[in-house]
Formats: sequence, structure tokens, C-alpha cells
Amino acid sequence: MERFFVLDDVSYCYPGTSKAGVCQVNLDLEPGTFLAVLGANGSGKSTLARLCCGLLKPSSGRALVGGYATDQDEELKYIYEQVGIVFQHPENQFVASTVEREIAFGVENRTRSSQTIRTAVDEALSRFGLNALKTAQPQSLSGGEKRLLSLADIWVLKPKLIIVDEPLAMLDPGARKRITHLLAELKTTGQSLIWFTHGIAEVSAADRVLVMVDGRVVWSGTPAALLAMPAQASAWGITLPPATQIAFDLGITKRAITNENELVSALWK
Amino acid sequence: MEIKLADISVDFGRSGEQKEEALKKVSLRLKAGEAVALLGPIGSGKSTLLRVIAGLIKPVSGSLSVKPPEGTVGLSIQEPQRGFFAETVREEVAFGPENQDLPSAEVDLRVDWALTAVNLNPAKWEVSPLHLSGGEQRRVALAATLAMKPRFLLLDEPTIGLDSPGYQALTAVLQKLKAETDIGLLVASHDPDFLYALTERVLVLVGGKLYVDTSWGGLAGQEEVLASLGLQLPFLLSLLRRLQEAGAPVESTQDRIDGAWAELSRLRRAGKKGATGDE
Repeated sequence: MERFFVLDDVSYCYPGTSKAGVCQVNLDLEPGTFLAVLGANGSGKSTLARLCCGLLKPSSGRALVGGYATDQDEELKYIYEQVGIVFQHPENQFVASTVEREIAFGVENRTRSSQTIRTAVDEALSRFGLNALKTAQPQSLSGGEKRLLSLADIWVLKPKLIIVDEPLAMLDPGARKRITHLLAELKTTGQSLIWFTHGIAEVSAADRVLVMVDGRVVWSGTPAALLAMPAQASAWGITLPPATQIAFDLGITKRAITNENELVSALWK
Repeated sequence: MEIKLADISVDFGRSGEQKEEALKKVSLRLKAGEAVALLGPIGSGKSTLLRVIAGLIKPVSGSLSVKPPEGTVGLSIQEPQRGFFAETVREEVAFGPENQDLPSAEVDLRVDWALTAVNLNPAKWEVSPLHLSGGEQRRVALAATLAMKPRFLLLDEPTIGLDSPGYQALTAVLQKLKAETDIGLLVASHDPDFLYALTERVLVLVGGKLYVDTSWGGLAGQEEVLASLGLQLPFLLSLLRRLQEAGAPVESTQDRIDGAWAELSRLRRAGKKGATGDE
């Protein structure tokens, strides 16, 4: 299988500090993989996200995307063509005067076909529920609407790897469900996804989960395996699904409870 | 203290040619000591309503009265890092009380109290707030608002970016504030579980209009309406409803989270013989 995305012993220290924000992280991602990176505030998730796409260069080790190294300036343009990142603060990435122009901006840099651009923008507006806002100014949107637009901006470019940092923040439950589904289905088109968050409920469809503590990867496995050890997950600062948390608080520990139906069955049969 | 809104409307005109109302004739009364949840779909006007009450947005029509007028209203905004400017966390939190012309000893006391209340590691008090993680920045922003001792606290999506310990710490801080003072709270959030742990009254905004003003128990009967709006009941209320539908003897319209927990614990104790009963 193609080694599409590789982190080889990657560490990073912020300038002026001696403590590593990210320490000796190794990763090998095949195309079409959904990877979740979980950890508490300050565990190094956002730093790792920036290292993955070349916005930060490793202090030691190497990050390779499609065979290109992020520490080689002349290779960055090839990396940026393959990777899209959605930041925690979406307004940081807006450049255009309307929602529609904002989504079109990246596509226009890839193609001159007006028909292709129109089709791509219309599909993104529809998939992200932004049709009613297409003439609105991006900066005038609510927090949740900005989040949807920032995701649409990247999704429309169909990069081989999408990196999202807390993508569901500021979304209502309906939009959370829609976006979770939309991101999880990226793998059907061979796109890879790295989803950084502190809550495991939103990444239950991930192929693999990494847990970060103090800049290091301390655990790797499936979402189900992590849910089966709720006490340890909590100790790592990970937010459990409400059903798992309540079962844990009520002392129901013999089997993993991951959803409401399982909890109802455990409490009343 | 009382905050009264009468027929408040706000225009945003954000779609260019079309004029759009962010709030449409919202009337509301909030009292000291009251903890109120503000729910609503994305773009329903929650942040706008908070900003109107804080005096940051002037409505195009309607009236806002805050009595007594010297009662401080504090707003903690959605993206607090946007407002940070001081060189250290301590200076950031001190800025508000310093501008209330308090003696420096009182400012120091308030800064210590507020940063302790939000459970921020003292090792971080002298570092730049811009060097903190997102969750830590939320707590600094809340401390900066708390240090001004507002009589009414407005919080806009306070749990965004918070991990599990941060979330629990914030919930505990706000519950303690409620128990020990007569501070009023109006909290906008997409997280109904956080709101249920903290508030007794629920407002639902839809398309800039006040759609529902009720208790949590009252909201429990409107689960289908909420779902049609893309919203959810708090998980505990939803769970009680599912249990009731399955025939369990529980009361599913609990106004307070303590009541919901009491129902679950009672069922757990009584139902062990019928339940799967693992310990």
C-alpha cells in the first residue's frame, strides 16, 4: 500500500521554549484512512495538526505528504495541493466578500472552467446548508455558520488529506450530525481525514484513534477499545459520550455502554 | 436587579440587498439570581441577543432597561482570544477591575479569586494569555469577566474548546457562583447537557424570534419540535423519556438535573433485580 502520509519521529519545540510541544510522534497513514487524534487541552493536538500540513516544520524528525517533506520549502506547494486544514478559528481563513465567492476562491485557483467552478460551488453550498447565505459577508456570519463555511472551503477542493481541528465546535446537534456524516464518508472517495478533538463521541467512525498526553502519543487503537476503558480515557482528559459517562457514574462497569439504547437496556429490562 | 427587553428588533442586513432581522420583537424579563439557558439553531440570534443586553449592539426598535442602572452586566464572548491584549494572564484579568477604579490591593484580591475560581494552574498566571491552549483561554476570559463582579453574567458558548476536566471545572465554578451569590446567568450554548446542569429556565430562539420560554420539564414534552429544529434535549432528560417509554417507573419531566439524577439512582437501586445489574 502507498505510504501517503508519514510522520517519522517528529518533535517540535516552540521558539524560546525547551519543552517539546510535540514529542517523537510516528504515524503512517494509508489513503482513505480516518484517523482521530484525541487529547486534553494543551496536549499538543493543534501543534501536531500544523506539523501534519507543513505550517510548522519539525524541530527534529520528518513529515512526508505524498513523498514530499514539509521541511523543504520548495516542496511545500505540492503539499498544499494535497492537504486542506480547517482551523479552530475559522474566520482566520476567509478572504472573499461573500460566502459564494469564498467557496469559489480555492476552486478558481485550480481551474478556469466556469461550469466546473459553478457546479462545485453549488454542491458545496447545498451539502453544507449554506444556500440561504450565499450572498452574505463571511465576517457577518454567526460562529456556527463560519464553521460550516470554513469546512465547505476545504471540502470543495477535494484534497487527498483533510485535517480538521475541533470541527463541530459552535454547531447545533443537527449540523453536528450532518458534518460528522459528511466527513466520515470522505474515505469512500479515497480521501484521508485526520480529526483532532477531545471528545470521542464525534469520532466513533474512525479507523484508528491516537491519544496524546503532554505532546506524546500514549495510546493507539480503535474507538471501541477506547470506550471500553472509560476510567483511563477520562484520566487522559477525553470527553466520553454521555451514555458512557452516565453508565460510569452509575457504576455500570461490566460492559461498555456507548449509546442511549444500551444504557436503557442496562437500567431497565 | 432586573433586565427587561420589550419588542427588541435588530437588523443585520448581512445579505446585501435583502434586509435581514437578527432579532424580531423579542420581549423578555430576567431577574437577579435566575439561571437561564439560551438554545437555538445556528444563526438564530443567540449571540446578538447577548450583545444587545450587554449594550454592544443598539436595537433598531424596542427598549432595554437594566435596573438598577449601576448593576454590572458582564459578557464573555465566543472567541475570547480576539480580545486579549495584556502581556500576562494576571494583567489581562486585572484590566477590568483597574478600570473600575478599585484600590490595587482589591484588584489583586479579585484577580487571585477569579483565576482560582476558574481553576487555572497558578504556573500560568504570569505567562502571555496568547500562549495558552484554547480551553485555558476560555477560563482566562471568564476570570476577566468574573473579576469585575458582574450582577448578571452573559456567557456565549462557554464550553467550546474545553476538554473534560475544563468542562467539569467550569460547571463547578458556575454552580458555586450560583449557590454563593445572587448573580444572574444567561448562557447561550449548543450543549444542552451543560445548560441542564446549570439553569432552570430555557429560552429557545428560532430565526430571531423567542420561540419557547419554559422550564426544562416543560421542554421535555417538546422533544420532536426540538428535533425538527436540529436541537436536542439534555441527554439525561432524553434518557428518562426512553426509560419511561420502556415501562420504567420514572418521572421524565425533571426541571433540575438533581431531580433527573435522583430518578436514575432510584431506578438503579430498585431495578437491580430486573436490570442487568452489573456493578
